[in-house]
Amino acid sequence: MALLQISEPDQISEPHHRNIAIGIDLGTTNSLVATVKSGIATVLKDYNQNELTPSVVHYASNKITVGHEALQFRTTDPKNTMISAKRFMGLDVDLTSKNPVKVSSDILSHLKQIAIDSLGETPIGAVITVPAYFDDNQRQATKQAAEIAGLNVLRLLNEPTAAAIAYGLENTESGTFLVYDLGGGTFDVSILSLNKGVFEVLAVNGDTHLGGDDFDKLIYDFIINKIGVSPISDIEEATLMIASRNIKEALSMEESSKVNCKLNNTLYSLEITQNDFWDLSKSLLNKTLMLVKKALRDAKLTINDINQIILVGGSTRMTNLRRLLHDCFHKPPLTSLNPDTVVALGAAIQADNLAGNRNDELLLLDVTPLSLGLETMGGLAQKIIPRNSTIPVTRAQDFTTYKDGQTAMTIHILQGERELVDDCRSLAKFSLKGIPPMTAGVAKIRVTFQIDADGLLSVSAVEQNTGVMSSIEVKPSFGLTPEQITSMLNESIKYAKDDINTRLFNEAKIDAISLVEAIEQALQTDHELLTNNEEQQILLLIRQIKTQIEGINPKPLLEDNAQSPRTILKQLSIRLNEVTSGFASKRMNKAIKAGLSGKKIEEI
Amino acid sequence: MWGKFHRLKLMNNIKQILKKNCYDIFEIEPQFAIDTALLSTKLHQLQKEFHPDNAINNELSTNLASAHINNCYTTLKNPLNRSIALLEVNGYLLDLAKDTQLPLEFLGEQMELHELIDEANGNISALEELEQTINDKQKQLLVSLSDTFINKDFQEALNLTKQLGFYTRLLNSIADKINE
Repeated sequence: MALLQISEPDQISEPHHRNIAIGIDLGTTNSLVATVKSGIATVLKDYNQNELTPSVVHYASNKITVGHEALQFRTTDPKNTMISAKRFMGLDVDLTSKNPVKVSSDILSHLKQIAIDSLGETPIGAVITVPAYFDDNQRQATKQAAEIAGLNVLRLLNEPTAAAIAYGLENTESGTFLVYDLGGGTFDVSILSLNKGVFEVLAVNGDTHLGGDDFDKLIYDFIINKIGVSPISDIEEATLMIASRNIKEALSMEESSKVNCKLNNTLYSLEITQNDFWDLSKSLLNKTLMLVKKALRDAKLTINDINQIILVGGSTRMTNLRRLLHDCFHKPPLTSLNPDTVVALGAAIQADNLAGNRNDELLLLDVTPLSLGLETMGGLAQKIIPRNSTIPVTRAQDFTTYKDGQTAMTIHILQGERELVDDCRSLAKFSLKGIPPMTAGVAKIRVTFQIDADGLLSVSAVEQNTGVMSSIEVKPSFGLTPEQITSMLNESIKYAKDDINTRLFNEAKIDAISLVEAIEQALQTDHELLTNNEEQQILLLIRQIKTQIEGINPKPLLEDNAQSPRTILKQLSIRLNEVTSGFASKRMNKAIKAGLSGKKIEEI
Repeated sequence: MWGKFHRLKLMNNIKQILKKNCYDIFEIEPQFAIDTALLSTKLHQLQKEFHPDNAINNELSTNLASAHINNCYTTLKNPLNRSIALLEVNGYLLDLAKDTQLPLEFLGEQMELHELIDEANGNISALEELEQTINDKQKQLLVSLSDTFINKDFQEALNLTKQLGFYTRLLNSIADKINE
């Protein structure tokens, strides 16, 4: 066990200085950034006044496009367009060579830039929300993504808790809330009590692979089944997926919706009603209700104990879902806040709180969603910290050696509720080395598990008899290696450089274009002032500049050396200026003469 | 200067917290019957000072104190853990994993209940009915346990706590089956 660290006290921040901090809702479908301005939580808009940034990233050979601008590539270049990357967080998968952590960090960089542009300064830190049911790997992956994006993570905050803050502080109520959070790719249910500014989470449950996307897929399969034709290309597939989502959204407002889709070069038309959708979605919706019941059981509460139901996530706009919840809880769910923005607003309030700006008391007591355990003999999982334990939490467990002179042992950390190791999520496996050789069973190794306020796990171990301490670094089994993180950081710096070079080139381009336009106009009216030779020389330079602007291969933008397109363009512009200076003075003379003619000498 | 003073005071408080037993931290009389509403209010008060979100301080140490407070809250809220903690306050250590000596009659009843859980075969309403039965038995046991603590009959308290351990295991096993 580490001793208390007493560090030299740092200076604490001035009481009146306001630290700007942001809250980020990193969603499967859409992401948002918000902050607290003059005491009010506000979503920050991008330069096109959009609040939502689609969680879509397009990777071209030299350019990363995020958000609205990346959306168009879903149908034109689906292979290089990453959508719903959050679904793969913490998994060892590569989406066409783009790691989900990398995709998420690109989205976070984009949001950070929106905040900087909007606030006029860099925020001191960010609260980033994660589904309550995210396991340690998924949380670690999210934190890594934020660090790669250059964000100082003040806290990872559970999405339903964030929503409850936004609602709770809005209404300053006390009571027991149930948050039903159906996002694009994840489902969370969270039960919490609010009492005098303290939010105490009582239980969470959920499914990190169940979300609005799955309802789109139901409609998608329904369409294919009905018309009996499957998409023949990934572009057709992506187009039909988008059409399916549009139908789902339309059915939140209308009784029926019509889809027109082109498959295999034939146009099909199909009508889908709310009843069709209800039949399709019944089993998924019941699955969410099962998880709601599990959370209630864990909180030792019944449906009647819930005072309010808070809806979070765009998918909770589905009429069938609202009806089901109303019937189940015998009361209508709260919908006064926009389900798309409520999580970001709550995150902004907590960020403001952690940055030390709030005077009233706000405290969150959250829980760990999954039990933490260890592998024991026979492939069984032994629970050390049960699910729904209030965090931060520590638990110690003693182990001993089973052979004389044994100097090492392997500890396998698991997360999940099942009895068999194979059914749980493997978080880390580490070897404890350097145990002093002793008779079997004498060594007493105390392993301490700590889950911090971010919900992240750390482990330390010490041999009790000798005090030998083993420092253990827990690496997530499916996270990124430090080398991968370094290379990503380098890459992001490189891209930042590219951005500067692109901007400088664009400036040179605009200057060149206006010069060329002015000269072309002059040539039209006054080309008789030039000799044939002079005119040819000017026209040649203009052609060269145009080629340089239009036929630009953006690849060599990387460095600003003598051969960079920007330098070449600048040199050509200077040359054009020089060559045309004679032409310009001739035109001036002509203009003066024209001004003089027809005027009497006395008037001059 | 003020900041320095505040920090030193907090560090001192953290050290105190880590030394104290759960009853002392929550400033509750060491007895078995407990006011859960008061426990919750105390938790909120303590965490307002020690939770890493609120304390302007070293993350590690506030995390430790905050975690210790949370652990105590869980301990005091749960009747089995509370009973073990109260026995410890009175100088009696109980290791449930090792000390399982109980009357044969009681063990026989436990066997029967385990068989009933298996026979329910995942049927939720059957399991919930069993859960109710065991909950009722456990409630009676808790009343007796509270009396033995009041009478300072710690040997009997040890016995009843061991029995409580068996009931808790049964209830956990039912909850797991229902959740599956």
